[in-house]
Amino acid sequence: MNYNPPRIALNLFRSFCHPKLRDSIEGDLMELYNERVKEFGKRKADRKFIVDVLILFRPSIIRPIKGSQNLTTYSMIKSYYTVAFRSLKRNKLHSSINIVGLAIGMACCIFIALFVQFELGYDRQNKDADKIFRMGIDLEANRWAISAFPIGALLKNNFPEVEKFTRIKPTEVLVRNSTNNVKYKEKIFYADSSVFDVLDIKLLKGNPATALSEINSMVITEDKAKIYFGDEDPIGKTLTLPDNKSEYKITGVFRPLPSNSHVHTQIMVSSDNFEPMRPDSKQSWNYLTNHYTYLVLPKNIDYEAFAKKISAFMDKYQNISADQPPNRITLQPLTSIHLHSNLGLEVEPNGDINTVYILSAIAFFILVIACINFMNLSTAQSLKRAREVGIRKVIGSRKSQLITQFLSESVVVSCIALVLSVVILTLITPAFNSFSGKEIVLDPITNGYLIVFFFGITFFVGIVGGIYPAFFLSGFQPTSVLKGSFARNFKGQFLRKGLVVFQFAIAFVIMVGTYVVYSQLDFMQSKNLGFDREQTLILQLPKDSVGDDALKNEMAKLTAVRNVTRMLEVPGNMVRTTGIWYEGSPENKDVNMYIFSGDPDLVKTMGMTMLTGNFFRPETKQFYKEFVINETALKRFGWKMDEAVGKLMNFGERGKEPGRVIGVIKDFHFKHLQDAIDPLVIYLEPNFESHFMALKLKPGNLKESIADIEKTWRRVVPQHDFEYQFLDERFGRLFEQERRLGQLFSIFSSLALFISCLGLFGLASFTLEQGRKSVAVRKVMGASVSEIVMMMSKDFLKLVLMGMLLAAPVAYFAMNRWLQGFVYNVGFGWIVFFYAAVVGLVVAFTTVSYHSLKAALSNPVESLKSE
Amino acid sequence: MKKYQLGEFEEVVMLTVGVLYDNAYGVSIKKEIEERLERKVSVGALQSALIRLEDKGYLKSREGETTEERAGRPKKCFQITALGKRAIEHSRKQREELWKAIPKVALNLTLKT
Repeated sequence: MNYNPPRIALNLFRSFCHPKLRDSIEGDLMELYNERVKEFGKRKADRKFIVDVLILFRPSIIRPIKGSQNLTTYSMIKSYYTVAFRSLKRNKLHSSINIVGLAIGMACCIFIALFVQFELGYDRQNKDADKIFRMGIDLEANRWAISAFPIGALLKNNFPEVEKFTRIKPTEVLVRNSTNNVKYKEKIFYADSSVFDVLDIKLLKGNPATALSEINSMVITEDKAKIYFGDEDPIGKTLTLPDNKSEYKITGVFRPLPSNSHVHTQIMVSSDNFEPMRPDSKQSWNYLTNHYTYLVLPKNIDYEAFAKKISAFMDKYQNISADQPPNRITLQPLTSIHLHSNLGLEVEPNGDINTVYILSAIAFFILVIACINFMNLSTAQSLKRAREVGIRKVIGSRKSQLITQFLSESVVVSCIALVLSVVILTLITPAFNSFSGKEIVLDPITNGYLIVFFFGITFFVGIVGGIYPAFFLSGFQPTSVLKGSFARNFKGQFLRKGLVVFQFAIAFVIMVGTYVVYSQLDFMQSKNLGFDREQTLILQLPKDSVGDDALKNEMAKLTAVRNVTRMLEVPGNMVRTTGIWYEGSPENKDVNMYIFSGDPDLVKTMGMTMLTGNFFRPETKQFYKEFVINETALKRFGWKMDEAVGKLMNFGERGKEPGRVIGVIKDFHFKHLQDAIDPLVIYLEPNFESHFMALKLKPGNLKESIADIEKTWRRVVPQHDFEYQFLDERFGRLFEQERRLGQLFSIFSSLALFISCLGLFGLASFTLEQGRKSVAVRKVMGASVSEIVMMMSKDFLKLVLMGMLLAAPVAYFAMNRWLQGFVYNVGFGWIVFFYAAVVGLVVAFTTVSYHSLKAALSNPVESLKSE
Repeated sequence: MKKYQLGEFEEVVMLTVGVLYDNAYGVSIKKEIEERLERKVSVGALQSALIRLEDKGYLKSREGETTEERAGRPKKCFQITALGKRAIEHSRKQREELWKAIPKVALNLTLKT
């Protein structure tokens, strides 16, 4: 019976010993070992064995570093690369098609990977990223990202789980440096001094513990400091906010949060400067606005359960009885805000996880299209390489070696493509960054993943693109190849055709997607919204002129202005809701509804239509007591059109003296077109909630009209800056996301089509070269140029058409689903298939006809004389 | 004359290979030396000496049979080559000449009490 020596020692010996000596010495060692086991026992034998192995570690026995074995593999690989480069050089056209196609595909893919990485990395750089939660609140049907002012402190005092909290409240104000009169409109944040700790904001100058703890203190970024103070040290200097007439002392300079954060703050002032945020504030609970609370909770806490606990606690705290709607407070992890949250009143518009998915899918498919090009062109060229394969096989190359050879060729090609794609990336990334406000970094030192993307994609392309050609080429039978009877491989041809079909199917889906996105965008922008948005100027009114008619009256006198109205919000993105009681409301309680107020000129100015009853009369003083409802509200309440006028309605509950409905207005789109029209209640109030003013202009010289309006503004409210927007532009901005999606789709669909056509071009050039003789013979027999072109293009167009037929159902289902996301959508028009097919066929025909024309026009003598 | 280079341990190995004649391989050589000369020989030292001697052309090797206790590994059996024979003969001759050259009186030592 044999014993086994220690494995480690044996393996060590095997690893260092010269292969020639290994067997015999190992035999000696084993023999000795077995004898020693019998003589001394296993323990001692093991020890001696180890000592023997260690003593064997000497120069004459160790394997040489450059063994004879290495030499052959190295030179073989070197020869593979030499051959690869030679064959690339020989087929310049095909190689450049391959490389350009792959480079574009890879650039797309890397770029999208970087973009996705950027999107997924939102807020992750915070040191407590997984412990911070933002509070939100659900009111009736709407979910908001906001919270009440005092709730943070209350929770901190009552829940040990709440480690820390911070609150921020953004607002837009004018900021001025009184000494040099530099002034700009800025988005500033009222913030607690814990903001530095919780949101991980680094102070470059100043003390985070005290920087915002005192009233009238302000911290700014270096960029802002430069704008207001130039190169001077800002610490200790002051900035003025003319709106609330206070001076702020700069107590710190901070580094702004990275661009992939859901908050971008440049200026922060002490929360004590905002009355409701003070601990002793009276009105703080009843005032809900865009104010955000962040809690730091223990890691891995079940935050949904904790939110329920908070809600129950708040019910008890506020003495909410069982028949009142309970508090519904929500918590949301910091890292999911950017992609998974789409609540009301977000700090900034967020991204969307679906865009990330769609882009990733597109990136993948574009890369696949590029890989297919590669496969097609390599197998199409197989004839040229067939002899080489035959000879290699005869000389003794094994199939696995040939596969390695062809794979290394494809890796060479994809490496060259990588270089080219890096060039493309360095060109497009800065442009994209400045255009989108993102900060995509193309620097492998700061972004380690870049290397992974580079090599992952190169490897993927090399293997995926190369694996089929490698098996295909290495499978040739040397006898038939070298005999010359090998002419055409029908199996390969079939697969090539299949791949072309697949390529065009993908391109077709993306093209249809582009068309549908754009048609929906166009539909939304041109849809009759129930109000007229042409020739309408929107002014934001200063807060100190609320209720003041002077500005409106002056504007109305201008010749350029047809009508003027003031209103609470601008239709298109209205968000205000409140509880409204109406006759016959469920359980006689108030229901949360969208509210809106506009002065008596609203209907006239905005071109809205009354269905029954009247809008508010100019001389009425029935503030809060007269209501106009929209059509949807009428239907929701279950009222008849002729009975609506005179129905009772009131804010909150019925009360002793409820108001009355005086009219029904035709539905208009007061929210994004993605959402259905909800019930809306319009009321009148003494201040006319003068947040916005809409001016309907007479057709004429727009520039002059605006100049007149500005002159009036300067005369009436000289202390405020004049800013204006056009209603249609403002409305158009609501579709920013759709527009961006449309742009992306059009870029990628043209790229997909381009790469597919590159492949088709290469394939056509190859196939037609094979058929040169047959063309020549046909010409001699009397075929016309057009007949020949048709004959040669037919095959390719058939493939393109087939791809489109296959893709049509996929495109239909995908885009139909996307459209379902819009309550008001353009509907899926079948004509899109026709358009896409025409574009695809024309482009494909043009591509192929270059070669077919060349073949058809060539002199038959040229092709026939050789051989 | 540096015609035949042979170290002391190498010479011992050569001679042992000769002693074992047909069965001279790693383990048997090692045992033979240990028994006859009462000195410890490590596998490493022995193997490197054997390799050296083979490189010099004094020994030649062939693959021998495999046995169970060698876990199926072949023996590497050594044999003295003609050159090797001349080398040990040369070294022996040199020793003998040295012996002969010693004056009798030099070895005629007695223990003094």
